[in-house]
Amino acid sequence: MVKTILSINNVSKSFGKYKAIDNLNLSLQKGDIYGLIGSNGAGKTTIMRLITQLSPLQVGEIKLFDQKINQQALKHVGSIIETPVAFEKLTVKQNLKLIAIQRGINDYDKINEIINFVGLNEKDNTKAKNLSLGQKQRLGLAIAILPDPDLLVLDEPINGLDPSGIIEFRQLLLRLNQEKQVTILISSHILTELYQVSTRFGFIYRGQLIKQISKDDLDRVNQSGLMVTVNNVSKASQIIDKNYSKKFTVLNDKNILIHSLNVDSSELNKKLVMNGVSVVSITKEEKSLEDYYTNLIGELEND
Amino acid sequence: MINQLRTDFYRLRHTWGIYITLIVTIAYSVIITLNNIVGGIWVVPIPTKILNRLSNKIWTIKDGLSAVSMSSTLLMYVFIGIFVITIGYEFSQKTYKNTLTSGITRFSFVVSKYITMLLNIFILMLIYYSTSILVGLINHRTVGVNWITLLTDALDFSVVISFFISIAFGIAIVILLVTGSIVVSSVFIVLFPIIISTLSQFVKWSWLKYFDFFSTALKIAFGMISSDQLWKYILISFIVLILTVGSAILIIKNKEL
Repeated sequence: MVKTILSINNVSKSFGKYKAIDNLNLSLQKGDIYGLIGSNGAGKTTIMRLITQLSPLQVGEIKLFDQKINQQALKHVGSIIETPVAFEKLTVKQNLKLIAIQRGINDYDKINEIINFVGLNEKDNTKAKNLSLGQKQRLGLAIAILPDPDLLVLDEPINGLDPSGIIEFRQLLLRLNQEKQVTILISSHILTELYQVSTRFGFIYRGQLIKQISKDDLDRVNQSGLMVTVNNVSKASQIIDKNYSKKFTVLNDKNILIHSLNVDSSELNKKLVMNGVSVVSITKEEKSLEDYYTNLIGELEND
Repeated sequence: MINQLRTDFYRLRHTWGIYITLIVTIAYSVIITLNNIVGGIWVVPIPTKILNRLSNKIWTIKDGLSAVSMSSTLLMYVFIGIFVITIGYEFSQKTYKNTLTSGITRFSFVVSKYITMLLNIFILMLIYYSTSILVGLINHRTVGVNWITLLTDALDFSVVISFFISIAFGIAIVILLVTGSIVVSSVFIVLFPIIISTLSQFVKWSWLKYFDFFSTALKIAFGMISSDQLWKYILISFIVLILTVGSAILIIKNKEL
């Protein structure tokens, strides 16, 4: 059974006359890595600040773990909002010890474990103020995950990271999700990165959630996958159906799109040829999340 | 709340500022007691009999205690560091984001910060008086009164002065939350006793004396407030403290953090 971790119901938030969030509904299921996408000022950070109660809720309801949001529920949430923060004059280890005391964690071995997990083992005695931006992001993540949260709320966590830092951060998030079953709500302007890590996407435009879509559906809509051009689509589709569990669409009398990029094209080619189907070409079709976002926003702005 | 108190004490223990404050407090007490001098900003008319006693004869340990009490007005400024480290850093370095999302209630946050400051000031005041007693002993001074009276006085003075300093720091928390500025709230701590005392000299509003917290502490320490008046001072101070903590909670609950 799918367990809802977070549900945001009819939430609105105004700053003076400016409506930052407008009747927003959103829910996260256990195990989701939910990518929140929107331009600057669309309302992504405001939503995250409302979830973590750094911004007082005015209208609507937010439920965490099936109960109305409260301080008790927040104990199961880790977050980095806007920028990672730590006491600058304390070392990495001291900052984590501080969080451990604050959260009532008595197992101090866990601090070393987390330092290793985020790859800061060579910096454990370095003061926070002397860390690079990437290392500060890692410390922020370490602070967020130390209490073993069920939900991680990460606002632009890969801002300022170098390419290798981005790759490592992505791997960290995937490990957290897969090894520790942490549900993640993440926003980023780097859509290629968000695509690689997320399982679902929510698009925010002027404070409204205009679209939610799973990664599979996005790939289908984007027609991402393997484009197979053959002389006999009927026979080819039977072979694909029999040998692969992937979804596919027959586009016309020559082309079939397999909605996955994780199919061995040489193996597929071999199977089709051995069954008497002439293969003209097998090509990767990739439309990006960026294309989808641009089209979505473009349609709205043209209306 | 206990965890937050432990957190703040852990952080204070790992901050140079608290050790500097400790050294300055000890040094100040040593200088006063050793050199038979009295310092500080006096906004309270100190009884002449105490002043005469201090200027005319060789000091006893009790005289040293009186002198450090009279000089304690300056300590409020030394203790600003405690305010800055305990709560100021949370806002200047925005670490309140970690603290307030850790599951702590706004009530616990404000109250634990106040208690941390109060306890630190109290411990420093005890050290301040203990240093004076120790310096007197090292210099082979006579006690001047019996030991129980002396120690009870030291403890009473520490409690009273810490409590009244902490009220000013409590108001500074409200100012910090409203303005978000450590500078403004620290300047408030510096100016508050001076403004209240100066005002009370000029405008002759008798009720102002109840808000002159530091003078009240000294007046109580030197027995300048009669026992039938004392409860009024204490009651008003408690009301101010409760209103201050209540306002701080209300502000932080409704503030965009």
